[in-house]
Amino acid sequence: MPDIFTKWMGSSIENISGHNSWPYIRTSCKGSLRGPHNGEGIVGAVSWDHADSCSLVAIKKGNAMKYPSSSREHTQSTLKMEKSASHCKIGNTRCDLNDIDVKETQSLPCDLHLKPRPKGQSSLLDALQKLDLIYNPITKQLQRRPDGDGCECRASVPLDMRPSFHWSDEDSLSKMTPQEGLNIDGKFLLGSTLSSGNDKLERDSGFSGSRHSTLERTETSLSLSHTNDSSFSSISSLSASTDISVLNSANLSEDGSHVIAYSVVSNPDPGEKRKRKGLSTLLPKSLLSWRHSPTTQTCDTQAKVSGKGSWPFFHRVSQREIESGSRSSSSPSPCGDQSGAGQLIFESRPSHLPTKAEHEEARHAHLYKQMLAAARRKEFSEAKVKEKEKQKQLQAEQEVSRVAKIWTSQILPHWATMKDTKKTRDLWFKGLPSSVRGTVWKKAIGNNLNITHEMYDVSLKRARERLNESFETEVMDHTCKEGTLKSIGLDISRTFPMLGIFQKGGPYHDSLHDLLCAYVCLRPDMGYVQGMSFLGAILLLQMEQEDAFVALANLLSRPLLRAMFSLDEAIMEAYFEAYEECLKSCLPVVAQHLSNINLGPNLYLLEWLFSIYSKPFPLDISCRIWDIYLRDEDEFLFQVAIGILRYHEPSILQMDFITCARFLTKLPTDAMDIDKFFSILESPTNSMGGSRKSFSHCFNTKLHDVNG
Amino acid sequence: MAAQQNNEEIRDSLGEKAELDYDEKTKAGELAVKVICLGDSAVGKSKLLERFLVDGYKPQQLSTYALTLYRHRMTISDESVLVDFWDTAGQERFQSMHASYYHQGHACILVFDATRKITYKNLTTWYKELRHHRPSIPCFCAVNKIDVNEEVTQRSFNFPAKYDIPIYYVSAANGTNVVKLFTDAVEAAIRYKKNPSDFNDIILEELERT
Repeated sequence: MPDIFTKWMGSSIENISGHNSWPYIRTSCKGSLRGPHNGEGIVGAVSWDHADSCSLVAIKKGNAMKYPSSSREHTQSTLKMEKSASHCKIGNTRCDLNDIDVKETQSLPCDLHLKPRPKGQSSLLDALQKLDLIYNPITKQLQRRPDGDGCECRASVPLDMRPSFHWSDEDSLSKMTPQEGLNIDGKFLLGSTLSSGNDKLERDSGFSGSRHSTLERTETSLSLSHTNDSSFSSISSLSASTDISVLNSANLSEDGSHVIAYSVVSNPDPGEKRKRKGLSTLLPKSLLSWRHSPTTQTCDTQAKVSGKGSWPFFHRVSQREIESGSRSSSSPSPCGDQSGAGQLIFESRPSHLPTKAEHEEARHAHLYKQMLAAARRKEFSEAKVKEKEKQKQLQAEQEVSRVAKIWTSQILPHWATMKDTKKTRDLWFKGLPSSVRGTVWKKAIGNNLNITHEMYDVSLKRARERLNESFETEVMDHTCKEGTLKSIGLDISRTFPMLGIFQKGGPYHDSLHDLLCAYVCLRPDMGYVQGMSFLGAILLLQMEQEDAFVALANLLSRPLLRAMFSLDEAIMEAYFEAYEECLKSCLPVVAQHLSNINLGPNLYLLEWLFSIYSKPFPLDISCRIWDIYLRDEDEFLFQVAIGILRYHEPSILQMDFITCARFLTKLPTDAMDIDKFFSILESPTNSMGGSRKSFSHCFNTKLHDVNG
Repeated sequence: MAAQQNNEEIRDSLGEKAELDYDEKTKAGELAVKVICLGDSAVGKSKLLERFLVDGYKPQQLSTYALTLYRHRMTISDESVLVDFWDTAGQERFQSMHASYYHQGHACILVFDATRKITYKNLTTWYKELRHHRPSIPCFCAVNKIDVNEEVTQRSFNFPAKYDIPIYYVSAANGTNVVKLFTDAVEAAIRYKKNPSDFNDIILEELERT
């Protein structure tokens, strides 16, 4: 059964059951269940259990679907579990009354359809009004009207199905709407619950949970009757709780049981009046037109239950149990649900299990309450965090759109004059809005080489020709490295594999391949060097192919990148020495440690530089590094390296050679505090310019030494 | 032994020399060996390691530009061994880097791609460079991607025969022979470490001692 159910419920299944109580689930009903992932999916579901059969009414986006299952089977399965009762609790579900339309169809007395309804008219209530049911406030049951038509009272064989829907919400009561129980097709029970928004519900319930430290605060019970006659259906009872928040643990301890929903229904207690009031305000008049008519009393089920007083009509408590005075059948399952309001909670103890001792029961009840309280608290704090995050995100979004406006309206039109102003540079450092990133990058990279789009076409054409030729001898000529064209293909798929867009068949696979091939044919002296694929990929993500070609060619003519990608060891040596010198002046302790453990920059820095930090970092961080790199040129790339070491300084100082090498070649970026990192990059102490030794000065000296 | 450990701790706490010395035992008394993987770009060096270390295979892999290090703890004939695998970039980089790759390596695995002839041809270049730095460490040859090109398993190759290197037909994709390759390599690395026949190493050790 879980399989079938899972199929329909998908990721939301845990919202319904969440634990291994499948065998105890009699009915689970949902209205527009909103899973954590998205707002759609199954909105209504009914399941019948005993692990061997189940049926669902799954309502999905405008269609009513019934999970196919033979009626016979279900009748049987229904009968099978007649001894057990169940309560289920639906919290954290969101359901819109307006979406549910109860219809009478020809084949089925009742059917549920989900229809988007434009206006607030609640069709469920309409439908309920049409049903010939009455509410009996004494028994708290719905019954067929005595003057009903042909299908009267066949509910003579009581089945102990007692699905109760609990609301665990009190602060949002005003928004609460009745729950509905329907017996559909003689086989299914479906209840749909309605409530205010998820978040609100969670928050509220969490809040009240901590106040009462108990779950059993407000309950609505819904008892459904079932007939063994599969040919018709009835709505047996319906009640809604609005202001029954008073019902609480006191009530429960009073009768020592935890028939949560049930206590609402039939326990005479101070809450009852209020509840009744709530019911009358919520339920359609016709439903509440209680008539103390003898006809209803004739219903044997009712008679049976009324004699017992505190047990629902249609639950056939075994005679033995009653005699022994045990209330065990109503004790809650102590394996309560850790996630509290988000799930159904099943409280009845299956009757085939031995009864619990009183102290055990009390202890279990206590544990149960504790667990629920803990779950509430957790949910509450989670909701709080969520809310905060939401706010933060909203603010960030607003900020981004504001900044984007400044870029497009003020800076970009006056690029030449604006680009070096402090305002622009500050904005620039904070990260370019993605909408203008490509444009700004293009302008920042410039086109000193005067590469034209025609050159791209020509180069690409040549590359294609060369690729089609067979390279019998892949000679690595130092002046012509067109032979490296072949190795480009090996790297395309290995570029940002997590994005999945550069892989074979991905939308950017061919354009990246073309871009790199064209570059190799433009600069056969450079050839393809690993790392270029990442540069090309980052550029392609921001601009058109031709523009990316221009940008790539110009970028690779910047001094550092040119030295790297032409594998000019002497110049790189000068860079590394300059870097180490600056590291010493910026981070003397780290520099000393790295030198102690003999970890040179060639072991970690090259990996970073060759991809301009797009390999070690997630895309958003690398894009920001690129932003500033394009503003500040080569020196910044070494500043980033020093910034990384500074950011991780405490841990690096604890590491030996191999640990540190592994750490730096595989930076942990998951928990990285981006703001902190960039504020380190921004701080003047991290900068190698200014009063400290200028990087370019260092580099030029070193370069002079190398050449000299 | 205890004194030596103490010394190590003192050295560490002073921060003077914290480098893990592969030629000594670690603090816990474990053997530490270093195994180097060499071979052309995209022959599957990283993939083989991943297959061995996590017994998993993801078809997509980031290319290695410089170096990736993996640490693995194994038990070889009742002895706990700490193995560091040095996974290097396949494409030509800077010579200065290479020295540190080879430094104190105890065994080497040369990998080529059964589907690309050129990667086999380049083995000679890799081998020469290896022997330049480490004249006598045990070396293994692995033909990867035999799942794509099964015929290759029937073939014999000149290169390993010529240099007397054992050859393994492996597949990172389906795991064939991967564990055997690495286990053998680590065992050989341990043997080498315990009994280095590398003349260079002996001289260096002598120099360090005096």
